[in-house]
Amino acid sequence: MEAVETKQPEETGEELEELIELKGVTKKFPYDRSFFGYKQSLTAVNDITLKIYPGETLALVGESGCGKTTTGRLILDLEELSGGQITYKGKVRDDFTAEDWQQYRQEVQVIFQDSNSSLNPRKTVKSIIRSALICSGLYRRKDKEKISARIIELLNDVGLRPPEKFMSKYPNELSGGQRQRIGIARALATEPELVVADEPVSALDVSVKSQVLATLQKLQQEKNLAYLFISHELTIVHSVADRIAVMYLGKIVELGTNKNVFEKAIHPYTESLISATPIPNPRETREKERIILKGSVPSPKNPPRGCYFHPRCFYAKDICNEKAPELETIFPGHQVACHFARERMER
Amino acid sequence: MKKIDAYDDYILKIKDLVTEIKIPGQIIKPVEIENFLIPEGKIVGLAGESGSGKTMTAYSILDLFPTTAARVREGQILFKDKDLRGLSGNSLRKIRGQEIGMVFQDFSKIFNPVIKIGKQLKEELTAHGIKNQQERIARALDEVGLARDVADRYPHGLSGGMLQRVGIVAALICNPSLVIADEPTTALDVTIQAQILDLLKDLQAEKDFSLLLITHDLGVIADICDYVYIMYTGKIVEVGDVYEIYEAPKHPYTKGLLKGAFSMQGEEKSIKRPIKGSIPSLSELPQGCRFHPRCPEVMERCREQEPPFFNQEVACWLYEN
Repeated sequence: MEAVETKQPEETGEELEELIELKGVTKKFPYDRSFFGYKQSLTAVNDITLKIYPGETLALVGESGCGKTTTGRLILDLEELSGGQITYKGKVRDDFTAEDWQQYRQEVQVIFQDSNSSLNPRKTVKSIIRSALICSGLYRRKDKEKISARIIELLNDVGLRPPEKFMSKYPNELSGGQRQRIGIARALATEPELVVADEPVSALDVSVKSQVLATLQKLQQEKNLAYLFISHELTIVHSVADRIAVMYLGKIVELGTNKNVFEKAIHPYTESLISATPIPNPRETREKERIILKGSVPSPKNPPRGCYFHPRCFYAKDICNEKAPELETIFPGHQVACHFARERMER
Repeated sequence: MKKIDAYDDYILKIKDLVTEIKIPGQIIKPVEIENFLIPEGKIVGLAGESGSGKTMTAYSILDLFPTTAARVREGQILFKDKDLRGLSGNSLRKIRGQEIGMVFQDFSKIFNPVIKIGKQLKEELTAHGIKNQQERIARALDEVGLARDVADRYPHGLSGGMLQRVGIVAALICNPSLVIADEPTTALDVTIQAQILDLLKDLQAEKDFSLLLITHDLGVIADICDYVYIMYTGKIVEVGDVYEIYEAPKHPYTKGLLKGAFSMQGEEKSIKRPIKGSIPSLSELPQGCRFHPRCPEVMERCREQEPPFFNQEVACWLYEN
């Protein structure tokens, strides 16, 4: 078991410079198309504010449709913002010059969930990684030897050994875990500082999952990478994250350190998520008090009034139906969006 | 709890089952099970990684293979002491649905998208010659906590969790004595998963059917099963009472699976030691014990000889005596 020192930037009091900051970030998708254009829109990401610090893992958890992937895609500039702003290394993205964008795209990279569809089946491993190297502008096409050396180094880094064996393989010749490692190598090719990992191990088997996660963790330590780790599996988040942001219907409902979120979840949604997750221990999982939420996540096309969670909440009172709670700092480093956050903290 | 082979009545007994699939140039055997038992009224789990043959085992029981390249080659599948393999297509069809119900992972692919839920359920009842259909459907929908008007809706109009409930209705509506659930909650969100597991547990307690729960999720097994079989590359490697297996696993594979399982316990941001390597392809199985290249406790003998099932508990040379 290898433990990593947990960084708690906001608790230590010293002002750490954040790598990226999202402020009021919102994404609306139009739907219901008519002859005159779209009639309506749904809010997939609703006024999200968060910071990611260098070298940390911020996990974004929530159920399907809560907007976690869209948040990742907004950071990657794969979706256009509908509102709010993103600041990278102190510079607002709206003011980026062409060079800034070039640098941003090189330093902010992505690992997708499905390595089957995110790797070109007609290209060899070597040419997949080579295009990343050339596109990043770090290497020129004619530096063949330098490029080869770098690809070998990258394959070694992600644990594909001996690297020479993998260079000329096609994605379909590799196992799921190996393909995911190619995805990681490609993301690392451009020497990124922030990697958006969107469900990077969800499609893998248990034993392979931990192998790939261990590689991600090792790379983080070596290269001081920051991860935005998007996942729906709380058990996995617990073993990889420094801080955790819980999302529900496009909003962040709770954000805090890994330890605090798991030990004293304040938001009723976080509490029920944790209690609903079965743990691989028959005695404990059967004895623990389980909160079974009613119904399912409402459609973002027609969100409930007031607090979005109130129709399913076991703690809801009248005010929850009337007023939406703001995300407030309850104690240093811990934010919760619930009218009864302080009361629930005393539990 | 007593050992799984100490019961008097079993709803299902499988003996020396071999299932084969023809692929170009060779024949692979995704299932080779010597002994598999489901005691009456119990919940039995079948766990393993993808490609271990869990789903093929379920298909073998019901002869529901998705391709004609697959077939059961030998063995006995005794359902209520009657060998399902000897049955004609018609008599097997009577058993499927009526006596053995099946819950699938993703019902959006199982139900016909252009026929209303109620009509599809009626079709099933008609096929098994059951009367009072309207009333029966309404009662079954009540039992799983769905509104009765769901019967008038189309499958695509329901959420994943609701559709899974309808799937449970379809599996249980003829009052089967055995239900096979293949990854029933894998496609669902965790809060919905908790609802469905609770529902399955309650219905089982109420109706007293036997349940075979197939899943890769050790948390789900821990939650509702009485016994668990652990499967690796088509073979059962260990079986036992859920509490015993989780507390004192014997087979190194089971040990590794449990040690590497993610559990939200222990230290934050620490990844537990995984099993090395990955599951081998069925067409390139290693000599001797199939797990030996990945096994931390491998011995000389494991490389050459495949271990038999010792003490009706574990297939590993470590437990020879």
